[in-house]
Amino acid sequence: MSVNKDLHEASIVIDTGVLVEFLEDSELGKIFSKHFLENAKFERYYISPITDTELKYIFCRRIGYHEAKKIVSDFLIDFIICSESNLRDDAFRLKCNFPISLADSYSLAVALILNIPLCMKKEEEIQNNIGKLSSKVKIIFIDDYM
Amino acid sequence: MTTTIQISEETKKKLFMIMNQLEKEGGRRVTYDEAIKFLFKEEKIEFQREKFLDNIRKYQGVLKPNEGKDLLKELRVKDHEREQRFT
Repeated sequence: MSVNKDLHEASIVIDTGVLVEFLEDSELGKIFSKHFLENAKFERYYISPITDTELKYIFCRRIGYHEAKKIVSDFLIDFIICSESNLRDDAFRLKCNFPISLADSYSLAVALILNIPLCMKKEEEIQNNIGKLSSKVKIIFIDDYM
Repeated sequence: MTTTIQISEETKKKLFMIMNQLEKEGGRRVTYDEAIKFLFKEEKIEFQREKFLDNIRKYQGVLKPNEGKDLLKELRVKDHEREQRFT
């Protein structure tokens, strides 16, 4: 790991919905790839442990437990999955203060605790609270790059 | 023997980031002590974008259109309904 490049400048949290777009190779997925994965600015891609679980769940429904675990673990091999124990206090506080999903709370908690932006898709729950959430975390919507 | 040191929130966040990176690389929990020792060694492992992209592109399109979105939406809706029943 290089400690020379500024850790914050090169880091971003990726939410589950964005990775699903990439895995579906949708237009949003291609946009995400171009602006975030291929962008030399970013070198550290963080996800919450819930994103890991949600992706495995999606694949598990399609192809079963063992294959799901193998595929998603390989896909995420270069992503940094934050330890749940370091996130739970911020995640529950966010969940308690905003009518958002627990999964979103964990992604937001990663961004909050590391003080780095969160890349996500526009969704009603988040947009309804964007004013207050933006004061805590920088949220980047991939939809805005369309 | 352990001791207590005072560090700023900013430094704590940076150490936490390094711990997460080291945990990912080592596959095990890493302590603040180990993260600081790592910094003393000034070990450098550069990010390899081409390797990173080559790996994840293997999975681009592995899900059919809307397949993942529908399952994720279903999961979130079910979680929300379950939550509503308990509150």
